[in-house]
Amino acid sequence: MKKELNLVIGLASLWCLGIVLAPLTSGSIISNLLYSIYSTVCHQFDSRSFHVNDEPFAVCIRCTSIYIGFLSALIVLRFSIPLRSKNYQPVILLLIVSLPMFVDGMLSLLNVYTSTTFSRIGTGSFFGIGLALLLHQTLTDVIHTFLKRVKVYESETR
Amino acid sequence: MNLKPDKLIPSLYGGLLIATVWAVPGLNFLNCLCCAGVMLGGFLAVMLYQKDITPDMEQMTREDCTQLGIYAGVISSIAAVLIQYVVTLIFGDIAIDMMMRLAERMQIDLPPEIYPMVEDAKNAEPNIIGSFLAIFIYIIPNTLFSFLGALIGWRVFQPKQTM
Repeated sequence: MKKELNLVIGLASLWCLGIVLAPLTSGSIISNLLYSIYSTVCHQFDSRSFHVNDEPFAVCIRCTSIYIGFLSALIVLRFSIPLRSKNYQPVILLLIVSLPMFVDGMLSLLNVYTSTTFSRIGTGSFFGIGLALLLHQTLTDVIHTFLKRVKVYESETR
Repeated sequence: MNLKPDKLIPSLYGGLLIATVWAVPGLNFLNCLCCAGVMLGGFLAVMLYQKDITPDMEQMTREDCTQLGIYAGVISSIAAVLIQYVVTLIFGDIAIDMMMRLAERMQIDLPPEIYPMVEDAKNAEPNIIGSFLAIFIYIIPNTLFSFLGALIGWRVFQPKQTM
């Protein structure tokens, strides 16, 4: 199943690459398209984003942290913990990892306090790591089934 | 064994939830939390599908959830554009006003050049071709995150013996 996890890591890397590619190709059609695609999943506020070449990333700091956390956890899982060794309680895990981000975001939205870059990175990456722990096995299984079907289809059409 | 329930209705509900959260001003702030609204749609589709399954039917599989997530994502992209178009026609672009108020409330520093752009955007007429093109842009992230939401749904609702 390592091949499948490699593919998941590849796809996640591609998604993360798009975040950085948008400011790096600033002014081009690719950049506009990338900013449009990522705008559907993030508010893209300039002052809440990392910058490259004076242009903001395609998503905010919190979202960037989620995706980087997700990708990093997948890479760690790929090279350290044997697959299928852990069986996490999905609801509890989901609650634990999403609660800090939810509280940080909501308190900031309600103007109770202003979230900091540190809190956005911390809560975002924590959520991303949790999501990777929760989904890595299922994602590799989905890819495995997909590749198997492609092989069957190819052998049938030959 | 009876046939499994139809996937269209749960996908439709999931897709409409995503579209409503996405297109209705105020509700769309939910997507600021890691596109929670989009993921919630895929999750809802799986939850509704799982509720439709009776003991005399085959159990829900991971493939079912994958399909539900993808269907909900695609439906949501079309529905979001339609809802957004109708909302803009009826109320004008109140979404922009709400976004600006939110930025003020959260003490976010907006660059001065943004204000004329905001005014231009508010005065722009709804554009059918632009809305149609938007479907193709929305379809990528919506399907991806709805799919992930459906997989979370699978992890939560998967039958005991397949765990």
